[in-house]
Amino acid sequence: MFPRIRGKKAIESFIVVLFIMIAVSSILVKGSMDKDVSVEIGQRQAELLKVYTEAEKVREYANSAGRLALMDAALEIGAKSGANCLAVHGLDEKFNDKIISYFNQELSTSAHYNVTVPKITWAIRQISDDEVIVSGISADKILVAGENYEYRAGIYVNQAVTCDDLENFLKASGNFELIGG
Amino acid sequence: MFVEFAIAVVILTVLWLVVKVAMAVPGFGAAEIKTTGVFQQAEFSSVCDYWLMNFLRADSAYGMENSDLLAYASESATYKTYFENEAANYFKANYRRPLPLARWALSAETSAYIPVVKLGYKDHALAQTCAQKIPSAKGPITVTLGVDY
Repeated sequence: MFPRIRGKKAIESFIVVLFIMIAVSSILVKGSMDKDVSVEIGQRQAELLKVYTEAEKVREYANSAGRLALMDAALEIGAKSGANCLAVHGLDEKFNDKIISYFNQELSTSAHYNVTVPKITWAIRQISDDEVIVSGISADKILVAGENYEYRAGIYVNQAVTCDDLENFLKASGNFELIGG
Repeated sequence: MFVEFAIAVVILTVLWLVVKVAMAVPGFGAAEIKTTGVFQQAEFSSVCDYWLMNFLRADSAYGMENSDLLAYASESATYKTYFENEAANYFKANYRRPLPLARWALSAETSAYIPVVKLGYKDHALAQTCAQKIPSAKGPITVTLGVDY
């Protein structure tokens, strides 16, 4: 029925046919083997950056709180803008009353991290009748605890408040009657 | 008989080698694995955090930091207007040109969930969001920034 092919010629034909079949199959198979793989990279680095940022937010909060508490305190005890605006009595006590209220709530905004804010010791230093420096320091550190990381960061506040700051605040708030007092 | 068997084994071995070589050649038989590196997960919005933090501590045209303006915005309509102007100007001026920030949306609310401001893009929630608390005399204000870039 089939032509009889023997010996060397048969082997050659066999090899050629097989080679062609295998080559064609491998090309066809290749398409199905191509893969698009999406790999997430940098998770650890991103998480480290995140815990650092969370601590940095607390530092920013403390800086702003010190500044705002001092301005509130100064205005509440009768400071006005203009020269020698900070030559007022009782600024220390009023500031200490004010600053406590800024730290009696949770400061973290992340559901992934627990942020513990240490107790800060505050002090104000009268540089002149026109300038006061608010400082805050803690023996403990800010603790940011995530699933895989804990990050501890020191906290140190040093904010200067001047009569110009007070004047800007009064201008922006529209309290012109206190300006130039 | 034995010779024919040996020849068959040799031929099959050669064929097997040919196939292996063919499958290993890139563009012919080897599988091409296209790997895409996706940096950071969605919740790690470090770029957003960076933008928000820098905006809040930037000096405004009114001689106060933006966070201080916002701290008083819940009590004063004047401060609220100042803050809204500052936010719009800041994001347009600082981020539209140097970085491809497509959209931004900023909102703030008190600890009692009372809205203070709501600015920027409003049609839908943006891809990355981040938040930061700022102090105010009436308790912390939570500022939330959304960005598409």
